[in-house]
Amino acid sequence: MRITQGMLSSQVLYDIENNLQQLSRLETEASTGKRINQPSDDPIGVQNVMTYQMEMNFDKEYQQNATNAQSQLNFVSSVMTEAQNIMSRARDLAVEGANSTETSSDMQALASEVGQLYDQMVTIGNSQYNGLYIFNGANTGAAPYPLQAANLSPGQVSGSLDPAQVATNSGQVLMDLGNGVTIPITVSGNQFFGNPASSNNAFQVLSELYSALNSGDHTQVDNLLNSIDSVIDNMNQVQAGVGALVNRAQMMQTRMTDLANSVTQQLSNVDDADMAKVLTNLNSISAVEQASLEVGAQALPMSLVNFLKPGV
Amino acid sequence: MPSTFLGLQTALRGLEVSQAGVDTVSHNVDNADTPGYAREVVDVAEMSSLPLGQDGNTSMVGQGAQVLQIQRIQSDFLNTQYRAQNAALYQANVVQSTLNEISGILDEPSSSGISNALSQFYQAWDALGSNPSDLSSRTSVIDAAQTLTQVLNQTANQLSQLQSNLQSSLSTTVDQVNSLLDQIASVSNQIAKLQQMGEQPNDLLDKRDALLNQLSQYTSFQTSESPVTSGGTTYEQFSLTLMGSSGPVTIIDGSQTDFTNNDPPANLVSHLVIASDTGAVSIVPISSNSASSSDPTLTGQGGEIQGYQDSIADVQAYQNDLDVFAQSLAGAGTTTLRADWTIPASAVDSPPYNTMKFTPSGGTASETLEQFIQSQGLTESNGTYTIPAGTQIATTLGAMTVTLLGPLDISSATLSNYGSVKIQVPGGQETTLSAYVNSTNPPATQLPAGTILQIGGLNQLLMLGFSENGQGQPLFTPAATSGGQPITAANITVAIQPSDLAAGTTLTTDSSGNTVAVSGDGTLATLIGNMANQQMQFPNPSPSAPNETLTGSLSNYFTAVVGQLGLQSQQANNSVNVQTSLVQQISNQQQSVSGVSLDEEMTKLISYQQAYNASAEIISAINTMLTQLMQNV
Repeated sequence: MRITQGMLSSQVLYDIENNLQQLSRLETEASTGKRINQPSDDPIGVQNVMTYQMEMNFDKEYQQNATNAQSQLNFVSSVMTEAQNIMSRARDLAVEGANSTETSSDMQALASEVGQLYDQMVTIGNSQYNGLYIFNGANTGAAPYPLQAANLSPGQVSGSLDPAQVATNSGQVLMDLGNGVTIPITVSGNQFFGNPASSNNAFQVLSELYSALNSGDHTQVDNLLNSIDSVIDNMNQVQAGVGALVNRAQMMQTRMTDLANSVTQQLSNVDDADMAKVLTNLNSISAVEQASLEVGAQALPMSLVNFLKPGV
Repeated sequence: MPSTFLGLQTALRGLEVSQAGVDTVSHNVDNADTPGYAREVVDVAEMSSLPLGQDGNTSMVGQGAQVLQIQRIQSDFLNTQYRAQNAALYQANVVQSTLNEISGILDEPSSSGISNALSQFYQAWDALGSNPSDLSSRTSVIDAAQTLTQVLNQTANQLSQLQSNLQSSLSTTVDQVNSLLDQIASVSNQIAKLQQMGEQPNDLLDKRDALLNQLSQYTSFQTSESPVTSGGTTYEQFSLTLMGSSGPVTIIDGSQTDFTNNDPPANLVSHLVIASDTGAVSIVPISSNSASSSDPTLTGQGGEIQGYQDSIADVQAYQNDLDVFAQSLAGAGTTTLRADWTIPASAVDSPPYNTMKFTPSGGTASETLEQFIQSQGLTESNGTYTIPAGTQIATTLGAMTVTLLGPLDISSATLSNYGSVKIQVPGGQETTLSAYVNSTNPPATQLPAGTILQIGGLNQLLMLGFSENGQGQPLFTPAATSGGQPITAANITVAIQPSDLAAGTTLTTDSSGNTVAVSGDGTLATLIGNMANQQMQFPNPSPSAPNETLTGSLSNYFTAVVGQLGLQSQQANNSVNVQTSLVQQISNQQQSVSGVSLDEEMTKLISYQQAYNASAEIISAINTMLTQLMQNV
């Protein structure tokens, strides 16, 4: 093949340009630390990257949800403990009041304390977390129990003011923990404090205890002990359910953290540049680039002209 | 008997031949770097001999050498090869750079693209689901939706900007081609004229080759030369054809060669005119400046023209993909055009246009776009169809099946708007909403949790739910300025107050007696938050299977679009690499044949120089001989 100067120079240019292209690609990889900077770098990989990134965003959201659910449920649980303490105190007072040796003034004193417990129970029923009522199911914007009842003695409440007659919202506020798992983070008041006007409604029982003590009816007070026990049993049961939900939220949080770690790992496998490889390639390509520039610089000016002396 | 001075004459010819040789070497060396230059060599031949004596003496004496012609060394085969591959290279270059720009516009993978905005959107819903009465969660859903629509709007606008840039580049290219054709025609005339006068216009031939090489950057073409002999000289009629939609079309007609440099030259019979916004280019007679439907269109050509046409189609396809995305995001809906709406004719068969249903103004039956165009007798104009105002258009994308997380209260508005929605209560048969309500006694006022609903998309789902203002409102709407067009990526907006955003599915009565959503009910929001994985039906974005549907989530669909873009760009990159190396190789071969080698020229220079010296020596010798003779006489 006949070789001309034009061929040499265009070939050198073409090769240098090829080297530069490889250099530029490797430099992008090295400076971003990413293997995929454009969809064309790896059309299949880019789809994985996008899917993993989306998944990671959601894992973060779910982890946050699980944390929120735990703190709210822990609050609910502590409020429930408080309600049970009130009931145990009421039970102690009832045991005392069932004793026929108690004088009527003693009974009055007991009744007055039960009245206080009653008001405290109403306040607990209207507990709020972050401004939202926790015992009104899904209707978190409205107080489940009449607010005024907390300032009245059990004898004064009746009709719409009577917490014992209230049917609370039975819906649920759900927290999304991911993978289709949702847990309720509020409780229906009726579920925890008992159904309206039933014998194990906490307000009803406290109210009856109050009036029995007030009227000095030892037998009635004694009879109410069973109802108090069944209220405490129910409360215990519901609180145990809440505890189980806290555990679930914890479990989901651990799971989501694991998942996020594994997704991060996968994302890194697909998307991160293998720095050792990139830098090694970068070195070898820059060596080639340098060599081609030097050879080009030396070979291109060569021709017979260099060797022809004037007058030959 | 030859003349006494024959030797002097012979030596003079030797001087002349060497002179021509040195001149050619000089010309070659000067043009060593001139594009399109083909090296020249002196074609030298022996002169005819003269008989030495008379009377049967048959010896002949030579008369030296003569220059037959200065020959251009080039290979037509390589030229044709070069032009074909060059056209393919420039086509690939344009497509590659367009796809690179589209990659830049879509900006994936990144934390600022559509995919990220979509994931933020679903997360905002999920957060609202856990905290439905919180105003800030509600506002952040609206914010996230606005971000998503703004990214979509921006992407769509950038794509249309790219589209119009491509159109103007195409128009510049077509002008360039017409100018080149004009020059080629005129140079061919001059070549023929000089050839007819017995001359050898090497410089013009070089110029024409250079022009043809330039032309190959824009389009591929076929050339032919037919020799015509008249009055003892031969000249060549040069013709050039381009491939039209119904076979090759003559652009430069060699038989019209007229030896004049008319403007435009008479042998230039056709030129190119852009026929439509979609990039169709027609070949029209030189006398006309606009394309008519009977003119053939330029087809199947390589070069930048084809590259721009492909690019325009690619950009349109990605715009369509984004429109599918926007419509699927909002869900099915109907709108009535308030103003005429033009749609690209090339998109009639592709999604989302082929998924829409059209009802003519005053008509009752809905039709597909193709049926609508036929029944309304619409005609294509400038590559578009115009849908008249008053037409009702129903979009169908975004339909999905969802399972209620909580009970759904049925209001009278729900029943009148969505009575025909298919539902299936847990343990029940599939039926419609109104049939279910009426089948129970007393009529049902609530759907239980776990009911499966088949609904038309996100907007419909929101309108089934309740906000603090009562019945929910659609989230995504086309911009008010869109003249009643269906939702597209360019016009999708969020025009809803946070208080109209439905988060729940149950109703209660507030203190002032209004029917409002239960404040803590976020089941609908949670349901939408989980829609990140909601399966829907999509038209396949791949142009190879336009009528298939894909099943996947909205993010899957967008991921597939980006994957498709990646594959296309990768292919474009590969074909640019392959074409560059092919052109480089052919160009090397061309250089090998036609290129100037300085070594070779210098060697020739030495041999011509020495031959010249030798001829001069002979003249000197003859001179001495003749002087001697004169003195002796």
